[in-house]
Amino acid sequence: MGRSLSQHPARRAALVAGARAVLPSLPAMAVWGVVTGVAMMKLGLALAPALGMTFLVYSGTAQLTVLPLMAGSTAVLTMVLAAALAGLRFVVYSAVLSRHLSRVPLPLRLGTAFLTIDGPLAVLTQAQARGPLVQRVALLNGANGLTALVWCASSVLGIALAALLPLGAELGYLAVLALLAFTVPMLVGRPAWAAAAASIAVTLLGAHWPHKLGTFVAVLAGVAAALWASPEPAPKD
Amino acid sequence: MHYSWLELWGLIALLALLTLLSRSFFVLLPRRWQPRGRVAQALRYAPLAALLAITVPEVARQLPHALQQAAPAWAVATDARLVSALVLVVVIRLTRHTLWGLIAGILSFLLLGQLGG
Repeated sequence: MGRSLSQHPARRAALVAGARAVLPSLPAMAVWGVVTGVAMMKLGLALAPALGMTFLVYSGTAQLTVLPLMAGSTAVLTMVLAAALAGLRFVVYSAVLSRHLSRVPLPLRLGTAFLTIDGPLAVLTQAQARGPLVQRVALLNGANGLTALVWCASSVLGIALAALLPLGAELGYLAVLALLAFTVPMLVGRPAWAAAAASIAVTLLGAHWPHKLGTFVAVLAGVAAALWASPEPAPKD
Repeated sequence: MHYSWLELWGLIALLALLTLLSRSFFVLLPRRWQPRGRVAQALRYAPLAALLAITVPEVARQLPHALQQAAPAWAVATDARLVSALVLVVVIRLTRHTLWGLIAGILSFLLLGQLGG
């Protein structure tokens, strides 16, 4: 699998194209990674569990959800439940992915789904908006690979420099700005604007809902609004 | 924080499993339960909706506080989070360059942060 994946010329081109397309999301990934790495160490996690979280959990949402709970010595299953609720948007992402991965062998399907987070999925859906997809799994995994590399490297950097960095809310907001900069160019066309308006309205309304459920409901509202604003049944992809 | 070795690595293992299961939930379902047609088309806007749902509450976080100030209009106009986000959006829409918008946004955030003390 690995051999054919990188040697097939069209696949190779798609891997590179995916990696290039995800570049604008990487500043945000890098800042969040550093922030998460520092947060884990400031909480008092030992080096091995902090690295374990970075490489095995691979979810800033889950990590930043459980960290404050760990400080309060919350029960393990409670923390897992809280992380599940906070990460419900990934279930929606899996719905986006399902059609694209339906012909892929199971191990590659699971590996690809595990690695697909916000930036790479946006690369896939933006490419889909531009026209027919060629080598979509390779495109996605090009974006996934580079994103994982940057996320893990920056988390390790945060872990290593935790003692030196006086991190406050300030640096966290730079990641928000970087994420916003990646998002703004996606606002093209009526369904996109409808999705944006619905998502913003719901997320502001639900800003204080527990377990980040406001984020999840906002994603559902955004998709529903895009469905409502879409012209007529589009041809099947 | 008091966790045994087993609890700590149990948590990490469960969270890793959670990442896998949540991100592959629909991928593992039978084909007939996977979204199709117009719903599948609309789902392509899910990343956009999610990214805004994550960022916008952070942008607006100081607004309730600003509105309670003695001069709410001035407090809103100098809200570093809100103003820098607006600068970023406007510059990206005008120049069509993500990086310039990001630089302008970061500079205005740092500048207004200084003013606010």
